[in-house]
Amino acid sequence: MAPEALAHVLRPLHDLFRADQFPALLVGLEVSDDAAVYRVSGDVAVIQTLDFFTPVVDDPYDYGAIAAANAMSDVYAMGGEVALALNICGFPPSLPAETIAEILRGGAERVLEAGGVLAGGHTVDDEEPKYGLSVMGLVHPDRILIKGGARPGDLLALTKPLGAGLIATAAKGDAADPAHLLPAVASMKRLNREAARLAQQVGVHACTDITGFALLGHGCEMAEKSGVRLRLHLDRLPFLEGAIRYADEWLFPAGTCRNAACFGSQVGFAAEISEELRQLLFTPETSGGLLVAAPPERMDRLAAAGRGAGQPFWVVGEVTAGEGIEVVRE
Amino acid sequence: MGHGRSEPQSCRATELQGAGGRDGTGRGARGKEDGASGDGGGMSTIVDARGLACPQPVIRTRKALQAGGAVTTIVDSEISRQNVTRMAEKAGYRVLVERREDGIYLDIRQPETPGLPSGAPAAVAPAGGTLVLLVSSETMGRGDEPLGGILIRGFFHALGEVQPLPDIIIFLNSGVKLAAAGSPVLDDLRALAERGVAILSCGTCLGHFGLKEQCAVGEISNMYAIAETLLGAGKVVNL
Amino acid sequence: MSGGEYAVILVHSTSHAMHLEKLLGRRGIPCKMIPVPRQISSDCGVCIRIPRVHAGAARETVETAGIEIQKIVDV
Repeated sequence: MAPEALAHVLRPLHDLFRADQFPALLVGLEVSDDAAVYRVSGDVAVIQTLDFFTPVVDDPYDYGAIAAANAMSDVYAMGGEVALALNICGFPPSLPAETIAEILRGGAERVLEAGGVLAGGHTVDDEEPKYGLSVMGLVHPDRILIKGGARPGDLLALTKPLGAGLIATAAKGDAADPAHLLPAVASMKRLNREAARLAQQVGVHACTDITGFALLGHGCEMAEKSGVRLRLHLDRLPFLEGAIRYADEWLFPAGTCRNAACFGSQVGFAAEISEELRQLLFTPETSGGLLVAAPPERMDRLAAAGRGAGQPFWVVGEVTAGEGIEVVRE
Repeated sequence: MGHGRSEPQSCRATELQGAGGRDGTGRGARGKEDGASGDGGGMSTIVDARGLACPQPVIRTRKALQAGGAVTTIVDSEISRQNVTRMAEKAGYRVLVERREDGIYLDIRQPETPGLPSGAPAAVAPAGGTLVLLVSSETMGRGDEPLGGILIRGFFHALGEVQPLPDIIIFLNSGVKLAAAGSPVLDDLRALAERGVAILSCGTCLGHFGLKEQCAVGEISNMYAIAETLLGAGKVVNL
Repeated sequence: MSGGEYAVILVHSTSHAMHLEKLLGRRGIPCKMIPVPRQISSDCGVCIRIPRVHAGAARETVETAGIEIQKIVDV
């Protein structure tokens, strides 16, 4: 659904639940973010989120794993740990049982790796397969990571390379080299758990995850909620092998146009940046990494800690005063 | 309330297709079979991408092109039209877009002479001397007045797109009406003037038609200047 | 030429072209009679060029008036 259409549909519901009537809801009404956060005690807040989608890759196990990683990502984007998950399933009656079993196994093993427990779920019949999770996470109420805390002078870092969404799209049309798809799938299956843990440990000002609205869409959200401007350096952005080639071949999904239409007016590009690259930065990611904003000294420590833990933090830009995003070449 | 939106939407991975997927015959509920058809310009594979979201139209068109031959893709949205056209042009094909009632038809084929830009080969500019265009009537040719009017309008439109440009255009007799207010070729003449073409209209003729105050482009000239220009020209083209 | 902003209405004869030009003019659709662009083939050597955004309105006008056109092509 296009972002503006969605916002329009949700608007009347805003007044149904007034933030002052629900003081325990720390995030979700007046301040919305990647997930809802509800305080249950002095030092525990519950994170609640859900996500599901149609198959992104052919292999059922990988599909399940990617969908699960994607759903849990919002818990990490809020700085929490995964506690509990429930399956959300829609399968055609004709889908073989072994295939369904593989999808669920992929999802279950991700939840296990996240340290959470998969405790049930719900399945309906559906023409097109759908799979994902409803996830409950936990975080200390004072240590919630939100999109809106970035400050001028902060540096920006990404924890996963870009382009997995485009590569998966190309692969669905048999237009991708298998050698490109493998690393893209591995990247999508990876949890943002370690990245979030390090971000909490070192301390960051803002955090969000890069998914359906692409780097530029989620970046705009961070810029808007923080009241700042982001400057991204094209040459420092990490891309998966093959992403730029499929961009050159113009294999963009419909989501690219939607994101460009929705966020395009807030983004400025250096003149020499090609149309193909601009479109690529508006292309939806699936189960992408985190985008974090932190002051330079902390970013140094974060990158160093990341190196030690095998979790990259690519520094891709900085936060300045102003609004929107500018993408520059140098 | 924070509300997320997922990608992707209507794409179907092959192994996870529902009924009909396994035995390869089904293409799912959406989209029609892609097949070959004889079309005006020769055999062309048809890709009916109406109702499909990007990148399906792009991907299917690509596959059909790779199989060889010309392809006609039918889409129903501007975004699909843009994306398919873009992909095909980048891959070196020529795309003709026809808007019909039931959809947008994209005729995609190899360019006639690969490597040559669409359009005539650039004409060689004359080695020396001015190129003068002499327009002595507001119509082109004899035999049918309205047709003559259409032809001269077409001529001045075409002038804007071909090479070389004349250095000077001279209007004589009823030709001066073309440089006066209300002329159907005024915009084209102004564009030519902006590109450096000198435009001269015979003052006597303007006076004869009562258009002295209505000359809307270029300068009013006299027979001496016009005579000098014609005789000193490298080449004179007489319409 | 995906970057253009015009479409052309191809017709069967010059008299169709003249009639169509008057009709579109009355309807307020900006139009210009031009030679048919080189890469397109047509029954008649002139066509009517309109801004692409008016293609739909032009088609409606043509249908209501019962004028036969050959086709509408982007340029």
